[in-house]
Order: sequence, then C-alpha cells, then structure tokens
Amino acid sequence: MIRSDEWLAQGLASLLTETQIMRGEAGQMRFTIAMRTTPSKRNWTPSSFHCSTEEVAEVVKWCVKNEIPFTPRGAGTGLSGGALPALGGVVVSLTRMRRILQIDPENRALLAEAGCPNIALTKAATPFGLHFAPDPSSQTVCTLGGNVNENSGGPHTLKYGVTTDHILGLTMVDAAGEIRRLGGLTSSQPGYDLLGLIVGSEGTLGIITEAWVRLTPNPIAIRTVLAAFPNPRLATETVSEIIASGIVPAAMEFMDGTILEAVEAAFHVGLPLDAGALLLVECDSLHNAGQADNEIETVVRICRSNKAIEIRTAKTEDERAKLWLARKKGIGAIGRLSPSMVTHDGVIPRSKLPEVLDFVYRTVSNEGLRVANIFHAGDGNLHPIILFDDRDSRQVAKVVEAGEKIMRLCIELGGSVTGEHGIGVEKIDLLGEMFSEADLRLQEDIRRSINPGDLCNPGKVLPTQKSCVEVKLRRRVAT
Amino acid sequence: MRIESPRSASEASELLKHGEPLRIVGMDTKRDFGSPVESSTVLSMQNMTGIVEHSPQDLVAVVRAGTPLADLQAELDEHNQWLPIPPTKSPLDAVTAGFPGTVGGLVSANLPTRWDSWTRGVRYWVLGLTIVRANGEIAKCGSKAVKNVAGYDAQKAFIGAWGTLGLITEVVLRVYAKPSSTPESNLIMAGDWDGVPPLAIARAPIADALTYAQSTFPDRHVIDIVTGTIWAPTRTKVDAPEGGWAMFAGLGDKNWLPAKANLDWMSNLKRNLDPQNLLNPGKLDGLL
Ligand SMILES: Cc1cc2nc3c(=O)[nH]c(=O)nc-3n(C[C@H](O)[C@H](O)[C@H](O)COP(=O)(O)OP(=O)(O)OC[C@H]3O[C@@H](n4cnc5c(N)ncnc54)[C@H](O)[C@@H]3O)c2cc1C
Repeated sequence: MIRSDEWLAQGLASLLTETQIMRGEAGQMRFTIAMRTTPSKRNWTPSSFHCSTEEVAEVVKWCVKNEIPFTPRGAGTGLSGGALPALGGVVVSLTRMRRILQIDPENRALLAEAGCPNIALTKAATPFGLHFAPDPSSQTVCTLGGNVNENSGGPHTLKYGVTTDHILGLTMVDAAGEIRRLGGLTSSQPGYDLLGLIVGSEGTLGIITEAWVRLTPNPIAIRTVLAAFPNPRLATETVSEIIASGIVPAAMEFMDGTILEAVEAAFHVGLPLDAGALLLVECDSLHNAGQADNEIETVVRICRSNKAIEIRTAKTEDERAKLWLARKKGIGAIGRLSPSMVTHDGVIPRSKLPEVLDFVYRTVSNEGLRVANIFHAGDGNLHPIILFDDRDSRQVAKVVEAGEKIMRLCIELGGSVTGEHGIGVEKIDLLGEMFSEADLRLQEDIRRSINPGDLCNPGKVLPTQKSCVEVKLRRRVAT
Repeated sequence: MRIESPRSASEASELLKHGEPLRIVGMDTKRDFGSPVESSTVLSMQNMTGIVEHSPQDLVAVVRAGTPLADLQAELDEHNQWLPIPPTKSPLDAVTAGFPGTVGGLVSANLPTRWDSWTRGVRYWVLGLTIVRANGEIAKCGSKAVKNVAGYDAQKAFIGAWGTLGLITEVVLRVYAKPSSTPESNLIMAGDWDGVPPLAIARAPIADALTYAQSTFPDRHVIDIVTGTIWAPTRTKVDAPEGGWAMFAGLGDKNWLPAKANLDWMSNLKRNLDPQNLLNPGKLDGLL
C-alpha cells in the first residue's frame, strides 16, 4: 500500500518521540552519504531511531498492521545495498542501541545491543584478555547487527572463522513484531539451527536487537611479516603455497602495486616502491609461542623461494601496527587515484588465486580501465577495486561488464559471488547464476519458514523477491 | 523391512518421489540417539560412497555422504591431512560421541567431539551440501570456496537435523593439515569409563557445567571445560541444565530438551521442507 511520507512520519510520531524520527533532507543526505550508493530517485523515507527492543517491536507491529515495508539498518557501511529501503517505508536504525549489556569472562561471552560498533566489543573484552574475533576493515563504525546480518569476515577470520562462528544467541523482533530469543550461553542448541539460518540473512528475517557473542582468548604470541614481491603473480603463488603447506595463518592479506603507490603517496611509510605486490602474513598462537615462530619461519622461507625482494618483520606492537598500516589505510588511500571506484567481492578456491588474479588484471585492462587489488588472500576472497570516472557513461558500462566477467569466473570455478558483502539488491541476478532454480526454491522455503510475510526488508537477497522492486538498482554501481 | 540403496542423488530422488516414509541409514551407529524412526523402509547410503574431489592445496574435499569416515581419513592421510576428529583408541576416546560412522551421519548428527574447543566442530567444517528434498528435488547449498555469503546459509538447516529435513547426498568439507601434536586435554573425567559409550550429551554454560555434571551424573562423566560439553553414560531422565540442553540416547520421547520457544519456526521448517513427514519420521519426536 502506498502511503505518503508525511502519513508515515505522523504514524511514527504517535509511537516515538520526535527526536527518534529523522525525516526530510537530513534523512535523504544520510542515505546518499553513508550508503556510498547513488541516490535513489524516490523521495526520502522516514527513519526511526530506536532505543529498546520493545520500541522496535512496536514499530514493526505498526508497520505490519498498516502493510508498510520496513528495513533494518546499522551503520550503513554495507556494500550491497542491503539497508536501502527498496520499496520505501520505514528504515529502522539501530545505531542508538549501542550498549554493552553484560560481560561474562568465565563463559567467554558478551551481550551487546545490535547498534554497538564492532570495535567496542573488543575494547570491552580487552581487560579480560579476550576479544571479538570478526574484524571487518570497517570495524570502527560497522555495527554488531550489521555483522550478524552480513555474516561479516575480516583479516583474522581466516583462522578464527567468520561472524556465524562467534554468535551464541540473539534477541530479535521477528517479521510480525514479536520479540524472540534464540540460543544463549551454551555453545550449541538441539533442534534445527535457527541461529545459523538467521546469521547472514541480510535483515530479511527480522530485526536483531541484541546478541550474545563468543569471545576469543588473545594469542600469547603474534608474528607478523610484510613481504614485497616483484609482481602480483609471485605473491599469489606464495599464498597458495603457504595454504598448501598446511599453515592457516591468523591473517594473510594481499595488496598490489597500485595500492602501495596510493598508500605511499598519502602516508609516506617507506614501502618499497619497486614492489609489484605486498603480502602481509600474521601467525599467532594461543598456547605455545614456539608454534607461531615455526609457522612464520615456514612462511618466510616460502616468500624467499618465490623471490620476495624484501621481508620486514615486527618485533614490537608498534612495528606490527606499521606493517598493518598499508592494509588498514589502503582502501581510503586509493580515493586519491580516481573520481569513482567500485569494489567487487568474489571467492574462489584459493589454489586458483594466481590464474584468477591474472584474469582480473587482463579483463579490466582490456576494457581500458585500472584496477587495484587489496584483499583477504588466505580465503581466496578477491576484492578487485575498479577505478573509473562515473561522469563517463561508456566507462560505467565497461566497469559493469568487467565486474560481471570476474564474477562469472568465480562461479565457474566453484566459488561464490560474494564472500562477505552479501547479495542485497546488487547481486540478485548473480545469485541466480550461481544457484539453480531448485537451489533457490530451497532458500525461499527457508525464508518463509521464518518470515512468511513480505514486509521485512523486501526486494533483497532472493530473485523471487525482486519482481516487486521497480527501481533498476541492479545495474547501479556503488561509487 | 525393505532396504533401498540408491547409487546417486538422482536415484535417491526417484525413490523419494514415491512418497513413502524412509529411515535414512549410514552405518547405523547412532540408531539409539533420539527417538526411534517409524518406517519399514530403509534408505541405505551404502552405495553412495567415495571421494569426488580432494584438493589438498585448497584444504577442501567433496565427498559422497555414505562414505565411511575412516575411508575419508585414509585418503586425507595420504596428503598428511585429516578431519580433526579424535581417534577412538582408548576408553577415554569413546566419549567422543558416536564416531565412527559415515560423513553424512557426522553432518546430520553434528555431535560435539572432545576437540570442539580446538576445532570448532562439524558445523564449521561444512562448506556446502547437496540435498535431495522430500519431494525429490535436488538442491545445492554453499560452494567450494571457504567463504561464502551468497543467499541464506541454507546448509545450516541440515547440519544436526538428523536427516529430518532432507537427504544429504554430497558434502563439501574444509579439511586440515595434520598438526605435529594434538592439543592438551580440556577434559575433566570422573569415574572409570572402560569404553562405555556416552548415552547422554549435555551442554551448559561453561561455568555451570562442573556443578551440573557433579550433581546430575556424580559417578561417571566427562566434561570439556572450554565448551561446557558433558558426556555421561546414563539411562536416567534428567532435566536439562539451566539455559542449556541435554540429549539422551534410547530414552523415547524425552530425548531432546530444547531451550524453550521458537518451536513454531522449527515446525514451519519441517512443514515446508518435508510436509508429509517422510524423512526419518519420529526421530525428533521429543522436539517437534
Ligand atoms: C571501507 C569498508 C570496509 C569494509 N570491510 C569489510 C570487511 O573487511 N569484511 C566484511 O565482511 N565487510 C566489510 N565491509 C562491509 C560492511 O562494513 C559490513 O557488511 C558490515 O557488517 C555492515 O555493518 P553495518 O552496521 O554498516 O550494516 P548496514 O550496512 O547498516 O546493514 C547491512 C545489512 O544488515 C541489515 N541489518 C543491519 N543491522 C541489522 C539489525 N540490527 N537487524 C537486522 N538486520 C540488520 C541491513 O538491513 C542490511 O541488509 C566494509 C565496508 C566498508 C565501507
């Protein structure tokens, strides 16, 4: 049912206080800036800001009663448009629910509200020698609720597992507006794994308001090396060889010459400018420092045998931070190289990394464009960043073309069209290429078992949901 | 009793399309867990065996679900790799719930091992599944990549579902290089085990596990103090620990004590995936 925005805002005002509702220009600006997407053609959508699970439940019930779509939203850093209100309606923002509610060091668990920034969880756990392992690069702002719903990864999830491995329980408002609790302090549950189905559901199965997360002991030994290689190929071969040797490092991150050049120009960290690629490898150990030493020795040996031109090691925490700098600042730094960029996200079996990265460079340069690569190499999770000028529509078409070729190769190799950014509205078509209709019917059956309605974040994830989205978002390029 | 042993997912699909109730069997080592299945026809996985693909460089293996774990381990061992499941050599190892068995059984039961705190367990190793649905439709979930968030994490529905939502015919697994040493034990053991298999598995918040085990299974139990997992050889009904759960073998209708609520969602899953209740009917009777 189409309702005027003013009607929506008035309805919300009857449930919430005025300061909880954002509307007008401010609301629109927030979407265009924070979402990093082109502004949608529609007018603004009121966004309601919540302060308790009960308030969220009331708003959802009101939406259901009036047949108004609603879309949960965390910090809005998601890269597939998941928090975009594809059919308008109400955006339920969780960012004011940011309290840490309980820390239970004995059970290595922490309960926090969904709007809590990722980094705050680890800060709260630090005094107990513990941390929250998922560490997306956006961790200073992205929220726990966003992490749960995107099943986010990060550099250290190579060894420690992605978000789903660290969620013990949830409090949520389901798509009908009922408050539910799933899981808890025990490390698993009998019966069907509902928790496992809800993690990664991109806000389409309900609104998470709180989560019990598993805390991980801090390692007693961390060994970090940054190795420079003459070209990307030698670096990716090193990655494959390290994994094949049986070592699963805590983190293994790849940066190419373009990233290096941008970081060096911005921060002057003294990286070897003649390098074609950098590999950052970290090995750690929870119990026995000797193990981390042994692993890093093997890593260094493999780097050397692949003609690394320089290998830096960190002796202190300060030096470690320096080695990580290029990785942490890399994405921001390339902003200076190009007016626009689009970050892709695909996964391949990691032994295929060398040939696939070659394909990425070839494909993008064939279109006359530039690409920068900075990604979680140990997982085989590629993030080619294509640089372009969005004022040139011919370039935009080429960017889309190159991106799709890369994604198709990921599918062909038995990989995935997304390792961490999700399907959202961006990749609905690609999902249909990765999975058969029968596969997607199974996913739809799972969706309707938990959310039988069509108001909770409609138009996302499944192609069956797409028909109702009239906006041509799929060809949109995140800028 | 009739035994059907399809040789492929498509043969299994034909069988399921007949619409008769089936008891799905790998090596039948976990028959006593959960409630008895009411079906006179057995679907045996014995002809769906073998390793489809093992890519040692990727640490990934694709395996037909009827493959005995021992066969998989033997193949992996040739590359000095394995699935980190504790070997069952000593009486203490028997507390590792329900091994050996088949790969499909391992995934369907999702029981804890005594190395869970180190290896994170079965749920974490599964990267993808091929499912024959109750209506015969063949569907895949996941991929061969070690990281994947494309669509819903559908495979989670089948891990630990005891075959009641779909027939698993193929599994994509994360495998590991064999470490030079296995971790120190997190186990606290009470009593003499003599190789008696555990008949109860309980999970409790770690801090409560000790108290709970001592009061509930005073003479014999093993506790993993990192995951809060308790194994005990008991045939006595006991209540689940506060905030936790217990599962008992061979105890009829009270085998599962789930953490309250959300049973409506579980029933919806069953209704949407197996509306005629053909797959292992009765197995989860204490639950649904
Ligand atoms: C510079 C940069 C670096 C990044 N690096 C990484 C990385 O290393 N790894 C990675 O995995 N991702 C990365 N991302 C992507 C993004 O940060 C993550 O997906 C993050 O988890 C999103 O959190 P958010 O709070 O911003 O969620 P949002 O963008 O607000 O929402 C994301 C999705 O979750 C849903 N949602 C949000 N909160 C809730 C809730 N409480 N209940 C129900 N649904 C909810 C929304 O509807 C939407 O579908 C990066 C993004 C940027 C901009």
